[in-house]
Amino acid sequence: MRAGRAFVLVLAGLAFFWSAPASSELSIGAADGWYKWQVEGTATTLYLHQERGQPTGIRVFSPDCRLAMRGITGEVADMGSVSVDDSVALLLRIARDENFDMDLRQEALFGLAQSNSDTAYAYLDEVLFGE
Amino acid sequence: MNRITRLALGTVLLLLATGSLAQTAAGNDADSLRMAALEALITAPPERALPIVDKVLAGNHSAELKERALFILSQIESPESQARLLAFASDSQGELRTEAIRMIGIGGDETALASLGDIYRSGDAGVRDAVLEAYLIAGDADAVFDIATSTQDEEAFSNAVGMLGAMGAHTQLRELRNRAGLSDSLIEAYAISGDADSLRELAMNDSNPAMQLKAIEALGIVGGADVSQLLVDLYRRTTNDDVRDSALQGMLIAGHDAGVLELYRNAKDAAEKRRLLEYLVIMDSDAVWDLIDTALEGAQ
Repeated sequence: MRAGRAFVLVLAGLAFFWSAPASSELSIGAADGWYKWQVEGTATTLYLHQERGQPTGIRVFSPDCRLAMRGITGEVADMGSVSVDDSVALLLRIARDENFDMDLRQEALFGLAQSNSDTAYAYLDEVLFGE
Repeated sequence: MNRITRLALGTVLLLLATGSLAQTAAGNDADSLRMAALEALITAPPERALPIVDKVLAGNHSAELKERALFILSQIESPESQARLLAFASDSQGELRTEAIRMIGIGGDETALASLGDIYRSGDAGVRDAVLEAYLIAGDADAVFDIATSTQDEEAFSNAVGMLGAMGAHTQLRELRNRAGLSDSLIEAYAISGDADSLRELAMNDSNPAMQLKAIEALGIVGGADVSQLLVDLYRRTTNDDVRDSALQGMLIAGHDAGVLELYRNAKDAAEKRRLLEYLVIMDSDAVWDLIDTALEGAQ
């Protein structure tokens, strides 16, 4: 019984982890759908889709890559501008999480590669060359 | 072994198997993530992507990952990335070398493509095939034409001509006829490229009977209503059995059973009728059944 309760607590903890904002600075709304924000100091717009508090899709839109707009339908909540660090923190968390499917993690990696952030590139290096 | 021991052993084996499966799954995930991270570099600034791609190519990674790294290089529009790709195409060995050559074709960089000529001349058969393939991918028919006109090797010429055929390079193939003369491989290339005009001209010209017959057969590969009618006309107009055989072969290749049926109905000679009927049977033509019905009705 104790083990069962502990298991439920772990599950609850995981659910809370993903319903929490991506970082202390970046807070995404609770509603399902697409959210977008301008990454500060860049020409990049990040789109994030979520369902029941879980990220389910990422699109990175830059003037060079208009194909990234595929699949974005319906109303998009505009979150204004967000710093590179906070955007990278969100993408990193998605890319690292083995519970997400590989397509979503790959979309996060594409976002990281376009960020030009040292933190993002350290992670790409870790994935490619880490043990 | 008592029951409890067996159960314990079974549990241990199950745990080991589960652990092994989990490790395999984790390994697959790590490989997929590694590939995804590499592919993500396609959108990265060149100065960020190049050092990482270099490191992948220099490191102890799978051939698949290295091949993907070469593809990323081909997609980075910078002189540095093209130079690295070219260096790999020139100096590496085996499959990675040929892959680098193909990637130059995919990248389509004109300077890198021009450099493939030297690699072709110094390479083995695999390298030469890869260079031709790169030119095919890049749609660079002039480069293939240069190879065809400069080589003294019959097989190399034939391969280059075949590639021009696959590229539908009518102009270059016609020019080759003027420069190198007519050959089997050239006629095959006319057929593959769909150049019915050149084949028609050769089919009507009996100055080189062997080439004429080959051209007539090759018309069947091109196919189409005009070509099918031409084959029927060629058969009708000639008294040369070889030309008739080639025209029939052409109709067989083109699947023009209506033309063979028409010839059958107009034929007066029994041996010729039998031969045409044989062709209809080989072609699995429904017309054969109509002919049998007609023959049976006549017998009644």
